Order: sequence, then C-alpha cells, then structure tokens
Amino acid sequence: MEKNAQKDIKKTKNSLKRLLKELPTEELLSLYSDFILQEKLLKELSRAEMEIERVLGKFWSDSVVENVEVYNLGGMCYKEKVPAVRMGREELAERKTLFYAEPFPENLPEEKKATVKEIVFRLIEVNNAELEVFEKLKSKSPLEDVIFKLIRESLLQHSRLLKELLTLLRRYNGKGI
Amino acid sequence: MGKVYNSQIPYYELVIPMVEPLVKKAAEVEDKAAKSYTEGLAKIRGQGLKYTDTEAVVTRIAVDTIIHKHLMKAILEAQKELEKVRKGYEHVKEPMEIEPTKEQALLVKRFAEMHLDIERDMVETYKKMAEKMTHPLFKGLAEALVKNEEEHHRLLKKLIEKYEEI
Repeated sequence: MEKNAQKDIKKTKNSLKRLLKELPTEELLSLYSDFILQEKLLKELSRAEMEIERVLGKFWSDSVVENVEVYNLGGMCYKEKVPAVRMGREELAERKTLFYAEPFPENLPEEKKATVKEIVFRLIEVNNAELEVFEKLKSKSPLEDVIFKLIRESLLQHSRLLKELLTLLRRYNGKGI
Repeated sequence: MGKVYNSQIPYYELVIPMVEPLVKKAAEVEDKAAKSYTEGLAKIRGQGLKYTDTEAVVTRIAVDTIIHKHLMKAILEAQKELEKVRKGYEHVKEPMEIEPTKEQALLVKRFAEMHLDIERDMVETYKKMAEKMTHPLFKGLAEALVKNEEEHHRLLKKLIEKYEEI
C-alpha cells in the first residue's frame, strides 16, 4: 500500500519539478514541498517499523499473548502469538488494575526496588527534555503542524504514565528515591 | 487560490524553508530519548527479574519514541532537501506577479488534470492506511496525510479553473 503511494509521489514530484522549471510559482513550490515531506515520511515509516520489530524482538520474545490483534504497523496484522507490549492502548489500560495491584514481585530486596525507581526517575528527566524542545517547535506547514501536535500529545501521555509509575513505586515501599 | 502554508510565517520562509535549528535539535533529542528508553528497559531486565507491568509501560514509551524519532528525521530530511531545491528557485514568485504565456498555462492545466486522478488514488491509499493502522501515532499520521491530499486535490482543481481562463 505504501509502495503505491511512494510511486505516486515520485511521479508527481518529477512532473512538478519539470513544471517548476517552466513556471516557478509559490503555489507549485508549496505543493512540491508537501510531496517531499510525504516521501520522507513514508520512507521513515517503514524504517520505524523495522526498528520497533528489532527492539520488541530483543526484549519481548519470551513474553507473549495469544490471539490478540494488536498494533497494526504499516498494514501488517499480527494475529498469532504476539508480544504483550504490542497490545493497543485499551488493553494496556485494562492491565492497569494488575499494574496498580503489584508493581514489584513479593520479597524483592530494597536495593532492587531503588534501582527500578531510579531508572523511571531518569526516564522522567528524558521526557522533560523532549517536552521542552517540542513546546518551542514552530511548524512551517499544516502537515508539520499535525505531526508536532501528535508527538506533543504522545509526550504528555508518556509524562503522565511515567509519573504515575514513579508515584506507585514510591508508595509501594513508602520511601522516596 | 488559498495558501497551503500558515499565513503567520513570512512569505520568504514559506517558499524557501530553511532547515530549522529546533527541528534538528528535536530530532537529536528523540534519537537520544529512544536510546535512553531501550537502555532503561535493558537495565530493568538486566537485574534478572521481570517487572512485567513496569516493562510494559517503558516498552510502550520506547516504541512511541522510536516513531517520534523517525517522524522528526523525515521532517529534518525534507527541510534539508527543500533547502537544496531553494537554491534553484530564488526567482520564485507569487502567482499574481506572473503573467503566464498560453503555453505555460496549458502546461500547468495539463499537469493538474493528469494528477487529479493520482491524488484521488493517494487519498484512498492513505484512508485505507488510516483505517488499518491501530497505533495512535501511525493512525494520526495517515489521517493527516489524507487531509493533506484532499487539500492538494482542491488546489489542483483551482489551478485547472484558473489556467483555463488564460
């Protein structure tokens, strides 16, 4: 599906390039700019899928859920045994009950709990740095604008999730980091 | 004809977009963040214990961040390519400043007519992608591409009308 779109974009870009040589106007150049961005986005989309596959394969190969239709990346559909993390957000919300009930295994030594909390604390700092940059970003086209908004929204959600997780981890043994 | 770009940005910037330093920084931040999240996961795992739910949250964030990273890379690469293109089009003009010849008008009209069908196909393709994708970021992106293509479709129609009169 994406390959078809990529072919169409290439064709249109080539015609536009020829046309721009004849008649360089703002309207034609802005159309050309949009196609450049679309082309790059489709290319990166498949790269993102490959990287996600690699990361998931590395960390979740032994943690599977059966017969769940999950994250559908780029038209692929997973119906077999799949890593739990690929489940959609709704499923993850359901898992929160479990998540709130027991964040740490029983009788876990204190230093191990502290390490997990420290990792989450550092990830909150990473998230803050991301948010800081994205708050300042200004878009140059409506398409860029939507992408920035999508990322900002996603970062805010991460911020909430990480903070909830840290609060929970702190509360569980009644100590801060 | 309606402008494609945000009217708050100066015309020069619209037609000749420079690589935005903040976009470069954001792409770098996302690259580092993706590494931090996957390293965080490795450290959690490295303790020899499974914190299933903590891992589920961090992995989900890692997956999202990988997508952010690639989206920002796409924007950065597009801005770089546009900067190169800009060098050949310093003489670009607002449509009202140009008196196209009959041949030029015909060329634009023919281009717009030819590409109306392609644009229609692209709208359909992106719509199908948006329907199929379940990850919120990919779905949002596909929906944005549908809107972008619909806008192009409108622009091409306007071009045909405009250059038909010449």
